[in-house]
This record gives sequence, C-alpha cells and structure tokens, in this order.
Amino acid sequence: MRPRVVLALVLPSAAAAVGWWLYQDRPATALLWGLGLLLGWALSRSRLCIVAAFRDSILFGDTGPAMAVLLALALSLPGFAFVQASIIGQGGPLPGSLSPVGPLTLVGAVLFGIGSVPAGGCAITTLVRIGEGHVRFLFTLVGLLAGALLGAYQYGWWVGLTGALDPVHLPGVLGWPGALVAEGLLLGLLGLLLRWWSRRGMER
Amino acid sequence: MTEHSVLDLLGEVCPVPLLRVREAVEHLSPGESVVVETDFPRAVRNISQWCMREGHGCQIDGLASGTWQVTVTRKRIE
Repeated sequence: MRPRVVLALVLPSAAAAVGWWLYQDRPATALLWGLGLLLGWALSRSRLCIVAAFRDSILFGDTGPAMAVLLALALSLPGFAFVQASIIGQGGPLPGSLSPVGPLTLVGAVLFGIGSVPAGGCAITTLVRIGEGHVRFLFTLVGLLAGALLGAYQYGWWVGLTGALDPVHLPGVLGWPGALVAEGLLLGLLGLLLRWWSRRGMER
Repeated sequence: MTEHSVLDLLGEVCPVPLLRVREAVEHLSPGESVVVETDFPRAVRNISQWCMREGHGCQIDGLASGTWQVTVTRKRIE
C-alpha cells in the first residue's frame, strides 16, 4: 500500500480516537478538538491567507484572496456580536482583545510585511504548510513564536514609548445594531473597492 | 517531441514563482512553452489565473503529493 493511502487511513482514525478519548472525560475539549480539525481542513482547502489578500491584489490584480478575507470578516461579525452581547448581558467581562492603536500598529504592520515575504504567507499559511509536511516551515514557526513572545513581553514598553489612542469598542459607542451596520457598510465599501481594482486590472 | 525549458521553482514561495514565470514567458516565442515545477499551491493558482487573464495556455499536472508541473504556452496571437 502506498504511504499516502496509509496516512489517509491512519491519520483520520487517530484523530477520531483522540476525540473519543477526550469525549469520555472532557466533552467540551473534544468539541474544540473537532472544531480545530475542521478549521485546519477548511484553511488548508481554501488557501485563505491574509498576506495573499494584499500581495496578490497589489502585485497581480487578483482580488480573490482579499474578497475571501472580507467574506470571512463579514461572516464573523454577527457571530462575534452574539458571543460578546451574550456574555456582557450576563454581567461578564468583554471577551476578546481590544488593543490601542498608534504608531506601534504601523511599525508592527511593516515588520509583519517584511517577515511575510521570505515566509511566503501569514501565520495561517505557515501552520497549513507544516500540516502538509513542509518541514522548512518549522523555521518560520520558530521565528513567528519568538517574535510573538518578544512582542508580548515588550508590548507595554513600546506603547509607553510611542503613545497610543485608547481602544474603541464600537458597540459601546454606536450600540450593537449601529456597530453591525457600520462595520457591514465598511466591509461592503472595501468589497466595492476591490471589485473596481480587479476590473481596472482586467482592462489594463 | 517538443523540447521545453524547465523552470525549477521547488522551494520558492509566492510571489516569486509568478514573477519568474512572467519573466520566462517574455523570452518565449509565440507557441513555445515553459515547464514550471512548484510545491507552493498558491503559486499554481496564481500562474493559472495569470495565464487565463493574459490568454496564454496552461496545463497543470500533479507530479507527487504537494508538487505540481505547470506547462505555460505563450499565446500565438499578440
């Protein structure tokens, strides 16, 4: 039997066995395990990549990846709103991470952009490539983790040094319907902009 | 059998493969082909979409798991 066929039989069986083992004592963890596997499969098949969204639009006029990212954001909007509103409604703290915006954001974006060129993509692509068996992407993962750890460790110092605006939680300012409409409109406008950019590329 | 130039892009990540293919196709005469070998899935999509947009021929063959051979043929009518 060919190694690919063996792997195709063994890996799903092993994943199912782990899921069953988790389900015995920790059903919630088993659910997360299943969702994680589904997410990995979806990311691998869709080739969703934040870097490709920008790179391919600008360099090649291919706006497909950028549209996919916009669609993912649009689909996640009501989901996030539901989760956040439910937890806040029960008197819990606001879930998710709200970070201040400032010069630091720009510096981080430029550093990320530089790093993504030799890496060939974003963190999602790196994880997917490792999952597909490309060992050299392990080096990218090491760099990614080292950068993230260093960034997290020095974050407060950088914010203090460069200054930043206070984080804004839109539903706190506009209310939930207003925030959803505003964010939906913004994504729609970006979609129209991409459509225009794609057509412009086709005409050239 | 027609002889094609082969572009070994194994190990190269986007956007390098498409940039190299565009450069190679510029040096081809109409009807000539270049064979590209890549192991970056995104590159296969980028190359085939670029060919479709520019009117060049494009044939994709899977070599092994995670490796593709893309034959790009320069369009005959400029």
